[in-house]
Amino acid sequence: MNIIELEAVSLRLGQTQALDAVSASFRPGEVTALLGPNGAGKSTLLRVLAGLIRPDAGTVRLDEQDLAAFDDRARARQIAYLPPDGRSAWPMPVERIVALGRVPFLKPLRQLAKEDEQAIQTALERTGMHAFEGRGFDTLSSGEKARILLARTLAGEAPLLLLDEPTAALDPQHQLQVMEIARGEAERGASVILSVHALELAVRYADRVLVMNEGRIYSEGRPLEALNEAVLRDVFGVIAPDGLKPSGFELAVEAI
Amino acid sequence: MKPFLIPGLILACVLAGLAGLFAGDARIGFSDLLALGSETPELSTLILSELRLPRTLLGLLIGAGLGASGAVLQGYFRNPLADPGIVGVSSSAGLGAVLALYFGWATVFGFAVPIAAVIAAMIGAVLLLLLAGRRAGATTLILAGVAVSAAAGALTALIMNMAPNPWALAEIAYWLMGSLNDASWTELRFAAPLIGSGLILLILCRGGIEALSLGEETALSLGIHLGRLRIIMVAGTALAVGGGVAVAGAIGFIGLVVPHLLRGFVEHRPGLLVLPSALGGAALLSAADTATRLISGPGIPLYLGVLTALIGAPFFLWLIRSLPRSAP
Repeated sequence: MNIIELEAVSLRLGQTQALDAVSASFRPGEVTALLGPNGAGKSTLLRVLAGLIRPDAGTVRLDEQDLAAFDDRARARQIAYLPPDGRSAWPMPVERIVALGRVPFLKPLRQLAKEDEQAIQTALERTGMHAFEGRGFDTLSSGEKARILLARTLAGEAPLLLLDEPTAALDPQHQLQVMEIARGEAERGASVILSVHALELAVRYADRVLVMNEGRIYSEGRPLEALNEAVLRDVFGVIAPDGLKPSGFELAVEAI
Repeated sequence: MKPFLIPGLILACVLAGLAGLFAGDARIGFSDLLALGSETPELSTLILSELRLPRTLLGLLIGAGLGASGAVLQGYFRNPLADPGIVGVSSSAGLGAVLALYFGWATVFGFAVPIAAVIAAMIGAVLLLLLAGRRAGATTLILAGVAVSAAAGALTALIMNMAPNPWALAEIAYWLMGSLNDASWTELRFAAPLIGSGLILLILCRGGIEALSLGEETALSLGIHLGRLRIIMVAGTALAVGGGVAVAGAIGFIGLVVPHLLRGFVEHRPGLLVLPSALGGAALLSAADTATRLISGPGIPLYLGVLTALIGAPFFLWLIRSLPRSAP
């Protein structure tokens, strides 16, 4: 069964047709990578899936119900969304940042319950950040910040994770760590949809890729099939003389 | 939150309140406190019950409204420089009061000045929401606030410009400086329900502004209804600040200084900052009012709004210098 599906979704943003009759469906237990050049519509698609923007036409169904009919909090318990360039306005301790992932479960003016604390701990452990408890967010490196914001996304224990460029601005080691974490969540049954620029990361970690171009889905399928020679040339303007291979790097020390 | 914070702030409020009751030209003793409500009060007991007590309570209440508004606005805008003045509510309320003074409505109807101030604060807030639009981000709202503030300031200046005589001008100018000199039970009874309901609305914003720490998209994805949050925040600020301006004039910088001083005690969490800022604002404003009474010489009153500005403006400059250059 699909966790979320789009049917003929179109959206205009200003003069641009950001999404043009996009139909797609996503299953639990899979990592789907959204690929495509800048401006292809990846971020817009993730925002529409997250329920942050309503499409002009078409429908989004979450668990076979119209996403627009969901109440804000009910939707937030099902879908965790990590925006690009995440940062915190205040230098709060990292566990407080992660605790924000529990907001959809909190009653007004109530403290965190035992299961909230447990979810926060689990999220910190899965991202390898439990040793950083008590540290101010402003004292972390960019790689550590990215993992804390990812832990915030995991803390909601949502069955659908939408990650917008979670590896942007990270060094190779941290890129691999973030992808390993995404892979781990899919193996626990979540549906993970992430946008990424590094094609070799998608080939290595994704079960499926959607290649987008000018608001449309250009090709989709298993990574090496959907990223064939013609797609690489027409959409990305690149060639891979020796064929596209998964990233040649391995994590030196299993960090997670 | 540090465990001593709330008890410490409550103690500060009590001490500031006691200082407000006992400090001043007229000597007031504990015996007067005990004699409150007696059938045949002495003059000193009357001064306590009719002047000092309402003045102190009003100072605490207005301070609480300003402190809580500052904390919520800073949380909402994700900016430590935000202040009730910035959304234009203070200056709109000031314009309303100045209009009432100029047209002499106050001589016809005793409550004209405060009522005009609160109505103008509400109009300013509604104008702000209309200007900023339903889906405005923080930057748009700040700009709309600056615009409302500038318009209210310009109209206030126009009215002062057209003042019919020096006495009317002096009355408006003194009123704009802000003070609790005219505080009585009447003012307190008028302001308390307004500021009280404003405080309740501001406290309801806690969860929303905490989630906003990670930006508007994250807050939306966490199920926070930003449109609703914005309306509650603006209404809460208009009531809490407008209610204060209505009876005491413009008193600045409390909403800027207090949240900033207390942020470190609540792990920099914007949601947790609201209640301590209300208590801290109450203590600070009450203490500042007592200070104006002690400093003022005979015939040369120091106005409360002038004192808070004298303390607040250098603090504001220091705050700007101490912020990282890259801060949003």
